[in-house]
Amino acid sequence: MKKQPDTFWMFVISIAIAGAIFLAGVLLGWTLDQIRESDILENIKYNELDTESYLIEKNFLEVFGVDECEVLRSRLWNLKYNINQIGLRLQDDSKKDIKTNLDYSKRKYFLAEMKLLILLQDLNKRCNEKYLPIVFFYTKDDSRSDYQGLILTWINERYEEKVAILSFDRDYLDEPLINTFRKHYNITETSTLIINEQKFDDFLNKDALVSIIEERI
Amino acid sequence: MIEQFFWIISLFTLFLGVFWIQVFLARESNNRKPIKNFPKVSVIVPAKNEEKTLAKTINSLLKINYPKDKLQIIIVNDGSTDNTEKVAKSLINKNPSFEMLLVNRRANGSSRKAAALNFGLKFVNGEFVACLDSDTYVSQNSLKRMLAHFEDRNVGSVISGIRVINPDNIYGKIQRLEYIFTTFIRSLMSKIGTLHITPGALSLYRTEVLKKMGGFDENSLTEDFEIAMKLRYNHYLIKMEPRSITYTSVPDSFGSFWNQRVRWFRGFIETSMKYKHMLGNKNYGILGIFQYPVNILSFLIILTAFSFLSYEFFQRIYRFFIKLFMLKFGYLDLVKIPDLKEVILTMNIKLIFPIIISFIFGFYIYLLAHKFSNEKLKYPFSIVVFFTVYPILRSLHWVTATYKEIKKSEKNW
Repeated sequence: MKKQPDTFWMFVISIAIAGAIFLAGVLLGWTLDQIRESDILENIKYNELDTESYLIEKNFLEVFGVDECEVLRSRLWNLKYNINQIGLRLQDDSKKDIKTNLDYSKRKYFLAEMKLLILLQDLNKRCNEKYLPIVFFYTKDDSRSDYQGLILTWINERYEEKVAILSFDRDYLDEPLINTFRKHYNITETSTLIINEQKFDDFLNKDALVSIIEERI
Repeated sequence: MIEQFFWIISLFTLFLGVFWIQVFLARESNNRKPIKNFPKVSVIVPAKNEEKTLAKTINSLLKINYPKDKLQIIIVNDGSTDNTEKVAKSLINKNPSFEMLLVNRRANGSSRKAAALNFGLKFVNGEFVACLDSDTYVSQNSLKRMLAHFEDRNVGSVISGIRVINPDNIYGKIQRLEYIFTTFIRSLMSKIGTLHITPGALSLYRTEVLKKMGGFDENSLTEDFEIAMKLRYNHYLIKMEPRSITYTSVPDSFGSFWNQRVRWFRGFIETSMKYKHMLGNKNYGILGIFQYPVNILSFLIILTAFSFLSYEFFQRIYRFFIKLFMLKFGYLDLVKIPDLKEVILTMNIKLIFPIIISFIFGFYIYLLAHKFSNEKLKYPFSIVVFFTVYPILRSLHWVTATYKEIKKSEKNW
C-alpha cells in the first residue's frame, strides 16, 4: 500500500513562498520607484541650477556689455532639451500609474516650462529671434490629446532648432499657475494649442501644423 | 485592471509551481510488492483504418512480459474501409498460441471510439481490462508494473507514461515536449491522489468496475477523460505507473493537431460541466477542493488572459496604424532604441518580477520532467516555440473549443 504525502503543509509552504516572492516583487518595484523618483528630482534640480546659471550669465553679459545672443541661444536650447527629457519621463510614469511623488515633480516641471516660455519670449525680443514656443494644453487619457501630442513630438524632432513645445495638463489644478494660464487663454477644449499667442482649439494635423509653423519662423 | 489581473495570475502560477515542486520532492512511502499471481488481463484494441500501424501494436503486445494464457487480445474493427480486418486476421492466424479475437463492429451506430471500446468490452473475460490505441506500442513490463497498483482495492484504474514516437516535424516535437511535461504532472497528481485522466494510449481498469459503471460514454468527445471522472465520482483512485511506458503517434499536421486539441478541450468543458457537483466538494478530497478548482480556474484564466492580451495587442496595432497614417510614415522617425537606464527605470518591476520567477519555476519543472522521463533536452527550436508561440496557439484551441461548446456545434470525433 502506498501512503500519499501530506498536502496540507505543502499548501501552506506554497502560499508562503508565493507570497514572499510576490512581496519581494512589490519591494523591488517600490525601490525602483524611489530610484526613478530621485532620478527625476535630480534632473529637475539640475535644471533649476541651469536656469539660475543662465539668468546669472545673462545678467553678467548685460552688465559687461558682451554680445549675449549667441551664448544665450545655445544655453536656452540646452534647457529646452533637459525639460523635454523630464517631460517624457513624467509622461511615462503617469501612463504606467507609477506612484512616485508625481505631484511634486509635475509642479516643478510645469514651473520649469513656464520659466522657459518667459525666457524664450525674452530672447526673441532681446535678440530679435523668431523662436517659436508652442503651448499645448492636453487632457490625460484623451485620444485627441494623445494624437495631437504625437504630432507635436514629430514637430519637435523636425524643428528642433526653431520650436519649443511646452505641454501642460489642463486639469492639473494643483498648480495655481495652470489655472491662471487656462483663464488667460480661455481654454475650453480637451486639447488646445497656443502658437505665438494665437489659440487653436481644433485638432491640427501634421500638414496644417507644419504650414502654421513655416509661416511663423 | 490588467495589471491586477496579471498579478493574480503570477501569484497563482507561483503557488502552483512551488506546490508541484514540493510534491515532486516529497517522499512517498511505498511498500508495494511485485505481483505473484497473474490475473487474466484483456486488452481491447479499437482499430479504424489502421492497416499500417495495427501489426506493430499487436506485436508489441505479443512480446509483453506476461503469461500468454493470462492475456486476451480483442481487436475491434470499427467499420474500417481499408485492410485492417485482413491484417488482424493474419495476426490471429500467425499467433495461434495467443487468445486473440477479431470482432467487427458495424459503424451504423455511434462512430466514436467509446462505442468501439464498449463493443469490445462485451467479449472481455479478464479480471482487468486494458484499452490500447491501435497506433500505440507498449513496453515489455508494462502490465506487471501497472497491475501491482491494484493491490489497493480503491484503485480503479492505472495509467502508463506516454512517449511520442514520431517527433519528425515541429508539431511532433512540440507534442513530445508536452507529453514529457504532462506525464510528469500526471505522476505528481498520482502521488497526491488527484489524477483524473485515463488516456487512450494505455489504461488498465478493473473489469468489474468498468462494467458496473456502464462502460464508456458514447456521447462524450473525450471518453478517456469522462471515464476517469466517472471513476473518481465513484470514489475510485487512478494511479500512474511511470515505469510503464507507452509509445504513441501524434498528429503531424497543423490541421489534425488543431482538431485533436479542440476536441480534447471541448471534451474537458463537456465533462467538467457533467461532473460540476464535484467542484469544491470535500467528499472528493483533494481532487474536489484543490485539483478540480485549479483546472477550472486555469481554464478561466486562459480565456481571460487571452481576451485581455488580444484586446491590448489589437489596440496597439490600431494605434500604430493611426499614428503611421497621421504622421504619413513620419512616425517611424520617432521610433528610437531606448537606452538601458531608461528601460530599467521605466520597467514595471512589481509585475515583471513575479512573472519572471513563475517562468523560472515553470522551466525548472520542465527540466525535472525531462529528468523524470530520462529524456534529453533536445530540439532547441521547438523548446523556444513551446514557450513562446505554443501558449498562444493553445489559448486559441481553448477559445475555439469554448466557442464551439457555447454554440453547441456538431461534435465530430
